[in-house]
Amino acid sequence: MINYQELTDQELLAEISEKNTDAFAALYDRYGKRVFGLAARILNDSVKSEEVTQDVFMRVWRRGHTYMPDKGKFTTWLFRIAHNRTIDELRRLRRDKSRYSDDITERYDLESDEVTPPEAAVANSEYEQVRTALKVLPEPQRQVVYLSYFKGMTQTQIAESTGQPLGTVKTRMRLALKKLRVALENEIYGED
Amino acid sequence: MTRDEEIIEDFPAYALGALGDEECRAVEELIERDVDAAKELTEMLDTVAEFSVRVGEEIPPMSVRERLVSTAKAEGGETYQASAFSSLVTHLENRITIEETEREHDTKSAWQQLGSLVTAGRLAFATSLASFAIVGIMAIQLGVDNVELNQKVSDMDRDVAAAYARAEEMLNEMSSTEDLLNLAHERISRQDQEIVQMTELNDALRSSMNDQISLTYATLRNEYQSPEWQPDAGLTGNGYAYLLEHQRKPLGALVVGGVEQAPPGEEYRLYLIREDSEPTYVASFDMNRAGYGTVLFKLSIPMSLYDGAHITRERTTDPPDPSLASPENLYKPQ
Repeated sequence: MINYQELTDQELLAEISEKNTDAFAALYDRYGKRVFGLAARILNDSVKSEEVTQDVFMRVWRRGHTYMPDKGKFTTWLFRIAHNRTIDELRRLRRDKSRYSDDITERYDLESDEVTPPEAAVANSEYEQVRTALKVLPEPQRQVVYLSYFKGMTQTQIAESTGQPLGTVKTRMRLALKKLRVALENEIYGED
Repeated sequence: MTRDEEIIEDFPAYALGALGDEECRAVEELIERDVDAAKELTEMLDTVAEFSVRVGEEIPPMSVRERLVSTAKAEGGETYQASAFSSLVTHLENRITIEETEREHDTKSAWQQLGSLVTAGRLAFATSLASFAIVGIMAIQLGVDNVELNQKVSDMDRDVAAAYARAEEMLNEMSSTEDLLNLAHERISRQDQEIVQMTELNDALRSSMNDQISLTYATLRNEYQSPEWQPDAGLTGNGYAYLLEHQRKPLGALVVGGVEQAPPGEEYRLYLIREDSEPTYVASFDMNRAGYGTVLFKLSIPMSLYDGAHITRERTTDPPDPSLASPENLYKPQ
């Protein structure tokens, strides 16, 4: 009997490409909570997060063979799919609800150069989680990462909404990623 | 700044998902032809993915896993057991092929040996009867070996056939079990939906009933007033009762809701209570199908002289029985 928990991601993918549902379930057990967690943090909607999680893993099931190890790590591939799918859903929900600008302005004082925490207690809880994750960044860089990664805004929209030049937004994003990389390499977040 | 340099400036936004479709395409085209650029982008994508992994865990409902596995199976997925049986069959087939190859090889080499011996015999003992006999015995022996090998192959053929049959049986069993599980799952889903619908209907009915009671109560309040000890509510957990007294005439009214209809042959009876005397029977009534009832009754003394009321359910043919009024159900003055 194969112990799937001991298989590497790529070994599981190889089994999945052979249509082995046990391997598929094992891969879900390994990453399902994190994919769902990511979607839930961004969407703040349990039902939609379930849909996103399901879509992401069905894509792995159907198109796992398209993953090319020489192009990058499996987790990069998986979480890229998860984040893109989540942001698509977020943008779709925003279009449906037509609350794009309200949502942004209610959370941040965008006239300011710094991100300020929202006043509402409910929003505070969500903000604190994000704040912890992004604690390694100075506020201006944290702002652009938050608005792009968690709020699905394009760099152009961030520049327009915050009144910052597009070049400044780009520079802040680049600096933010560099700092995040160093922090991750030094395991500032620690292992879960 | 070249166009490529401009595109490279967009890499962080690409990694963070903050580019439009057209800009994304430009980035993807660039990394196809520029290895260094591809490496730089990969590092950024790795960083964002590492960050994504750490954004947080949340436990999704078990139904997500079940749906995924069920959908995967519906799209041709197999469980480990099915794959294992396929592997066993393949393994046995391979063994048979190997055995057959070996047998052919053994037989061929034996005949080659025999041929050599015959040649040698011809050379050494061309006319010798003895050599012919030896060669004959060896040929017989080789024939026996060949029969044994054939027997072995037949046995293994039978094993493979049996393994095939068993594998097919198991697959059928698994398929049937899965069908049953799917059916059960569908049935449970339907029942869940029915329960939700019934709960909604029940809530709507209760709301409608409460509206009706409030309306009746409000209408009666034009001419009636509540006794001082009127409770706010409370026949049962879901029930309501209001007692009223006419402002000029010796009449009382009772409005009840949320109480089931009395069974055939039984009815509800209202008693007014005075602590220093026996309960006074004042009226009988029943609820309509919606659980709502109203009754008017005559009062021999003002309602304010009573201390409370009690409702019993008694057989229609029996005379009113004040002794059935139990203290725990009395409406106490507030």
